Amino acid sequence: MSSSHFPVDILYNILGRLPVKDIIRLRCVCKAWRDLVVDTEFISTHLNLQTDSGRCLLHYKRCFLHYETDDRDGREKEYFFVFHHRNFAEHSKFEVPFRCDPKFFRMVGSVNGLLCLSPFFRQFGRTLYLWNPSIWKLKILDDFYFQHQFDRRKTRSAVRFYHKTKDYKIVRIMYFHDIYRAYVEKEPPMVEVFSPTRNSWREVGTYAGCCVRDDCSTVVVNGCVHWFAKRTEDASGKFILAFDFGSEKFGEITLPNYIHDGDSQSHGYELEVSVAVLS
Amino acid sequence: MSTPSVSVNRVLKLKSSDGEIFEVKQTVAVQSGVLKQMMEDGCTEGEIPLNNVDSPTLAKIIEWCNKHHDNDVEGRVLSEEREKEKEKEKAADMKKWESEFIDALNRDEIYFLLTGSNYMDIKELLDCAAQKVADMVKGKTPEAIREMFNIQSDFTEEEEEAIRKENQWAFD
Repeated sequence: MSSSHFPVDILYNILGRLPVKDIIRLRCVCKAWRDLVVDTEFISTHLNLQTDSGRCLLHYKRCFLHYETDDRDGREKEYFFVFHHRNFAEHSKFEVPFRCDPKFFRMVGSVNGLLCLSPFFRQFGRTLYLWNPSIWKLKILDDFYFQHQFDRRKTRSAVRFYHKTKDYKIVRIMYFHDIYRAYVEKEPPMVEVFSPTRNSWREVGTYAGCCVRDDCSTVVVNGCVHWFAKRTEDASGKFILAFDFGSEKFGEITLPNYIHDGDSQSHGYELEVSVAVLS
Repeated sequence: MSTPSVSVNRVLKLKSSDGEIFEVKQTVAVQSGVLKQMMEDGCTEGEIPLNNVDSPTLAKIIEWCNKHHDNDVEGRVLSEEREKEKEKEKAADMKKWESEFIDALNRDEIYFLLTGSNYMDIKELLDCAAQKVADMVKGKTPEAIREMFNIQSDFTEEEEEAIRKENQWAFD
């Protein structure tokens, strides 16, 4: 048997069936295999072939995570406990090899085995944890493109995460507001994009006149991420805001009227349906 | 599984890379994505050359497809009789047959079965063979895996040591 004669998809089919620990050990075999674990195609093959429920986290699109140390097994270890984003039922826990100050996190997004998390509550979006549980790699993004003296109480971020074949991107929109309402008319939101190839944030222009309504409902279709937004000057003017990760431009989709009714909690699910119909 | 152009009594003539001809019922051959497509396109007249599959491998592949076809046909009758218990038994028997089928092969035979089923697009067989190789790899040291796949390490000692250090938890 010679691996050099294997078509790469057969090799992926075989190695994708192995537990993570084995895959990491395989990095020692040769250079081609070392690079395997960071190949996004391999990562998604691996995810699809794994049936172990503990790894289901990687398929969650929305959830809350609670960071806690636990010494139940005699040795103190750090864990993330994963909760459902609506009913707060505990899904699973998994070990993490890092210590962090924030205790509560929310999932920004999860694609191809890479998780993007951010501390919950008002700080949401300021610091991003990019965490690959399969290879135990963590990257913390705590900088900004905008060297703005943010008033911590008066800014709010909306973050979206997108991952395609070789790369991922994060878009972050900063809103400036007082306690009661957004100040979009006075100071437009700022938009910045992070990509790992540049390893930094950069500005992609502003998008004035709207405010993200529901941080949880996000749908990615055809390279565009969609979410509910409203025009600040007109609280009833709700629509779907889309951001194309390729062209880095915003677009809008008008909502059918019936979606305007109902509580905001149901919107996440309705959004999935409505975008699916439109695409 | 069946398409309008597939008839129960018709057979396909498959020609292996070493020139041997194998006759296979169309209803069996549909398990191969490639042959199914050819049947739908109506281009299965005469001999169908399978240049990447030698005769021992093709014989194995056909043995697999025949077994799974027979099981399918019997399974349908059973489910009509609502004998679910027996159906379960059948599934367990099939699993047993599959593992015996795979276990009887040596490394080279598995390798050719993998490439052959990949070429002919027979997903179940490909997955079964891939799982077998994965089980063989599981828990092995990098040295043993190199030997198994006939790979020469292209790392310097320092490079390899650095990877081990970086991923220490996996080697504990």
